[in-house]
Amino acid sequence: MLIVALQYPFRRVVGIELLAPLAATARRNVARYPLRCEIFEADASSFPLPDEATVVYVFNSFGADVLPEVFRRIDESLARRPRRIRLLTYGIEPVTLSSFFEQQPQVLALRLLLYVLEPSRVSI
Amino acid sequence: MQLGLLLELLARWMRRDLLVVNVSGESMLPTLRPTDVLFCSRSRPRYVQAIVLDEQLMPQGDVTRHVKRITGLAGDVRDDTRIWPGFVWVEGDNHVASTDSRQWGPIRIERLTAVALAMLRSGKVTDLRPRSRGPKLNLRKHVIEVWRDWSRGITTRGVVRPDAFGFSLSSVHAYYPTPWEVARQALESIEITPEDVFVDYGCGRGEC
Repeated sequence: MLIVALQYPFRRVVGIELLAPLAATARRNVARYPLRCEIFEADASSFPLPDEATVVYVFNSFGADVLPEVFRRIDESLARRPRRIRLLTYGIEPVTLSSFFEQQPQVLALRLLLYVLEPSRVSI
Repeated sequence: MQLGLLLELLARWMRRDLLVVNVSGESMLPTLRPTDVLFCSRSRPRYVQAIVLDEQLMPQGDVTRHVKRITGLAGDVRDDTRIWPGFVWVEGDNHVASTDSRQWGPIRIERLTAVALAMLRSGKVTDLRPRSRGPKLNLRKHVIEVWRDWSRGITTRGVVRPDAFGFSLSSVHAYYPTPWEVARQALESIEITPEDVFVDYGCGRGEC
């Protein structure tokens, strides 16, 4: 997703990866965009969402214990700096997600969902 | 032994997708006997067939791999239980000796870790792949992926399992790339300005 995202006019593209070898490969893969792309080797459940983030992508790489933490980080960031965040998820059951968000997702592709989050409308 | 099966096993081995399991226990008799060797694909099984469940993911205290068959999908009713979306019902072929969903209840799909492709018994290989549809390797896609990596000088292929790094599979899932066309469709569908900042939780190798 990072490499695809880099084809679009994002000011900055940030990747968070827990496993060191994957993060190292990711760094190599994005090495040609040194100014726009950053990879952090960190645990997503404790990594605070940068307050400038406006598009967030969550792949189904997390278990049931980590996913709520990730959404909590998004919520915290929205509280710190109210703004519109577009949340893209892939491979996460809508049932799981609707327990976090009141709103109906827009279905973009098979199992790819878009939520437009605003501070007042997020409920976790 | 058919050439097609051999090629598939070889291709999956090269993609580090092949899992070899020694069968012990009698829960899958008569289909599988103790001392049989199973060749499995780590791809998520999609159809009703023999499958392997992973050790760490089984109900507490259970530390061996289990080979079972999926006998119920979401919406089916088994033992007065309606199977929820995201769950399946698994049973051993040998009901007398098998511990399975009849005791455990429905199993989360994430707990299915491999699907049986072939069985080796006393030097003879039997094809266990379903006749018509199944997790076949898509050769065209494979060639495109290899070319894409090579032409861009990036590494994107292969499955990485977090248990190899000491993380529990219940909190971190194996890493599979998002399909490129899905990623592109997602980003086309939203308006992006140079003010926007993109964050990917669990970016893997970064490709998708």
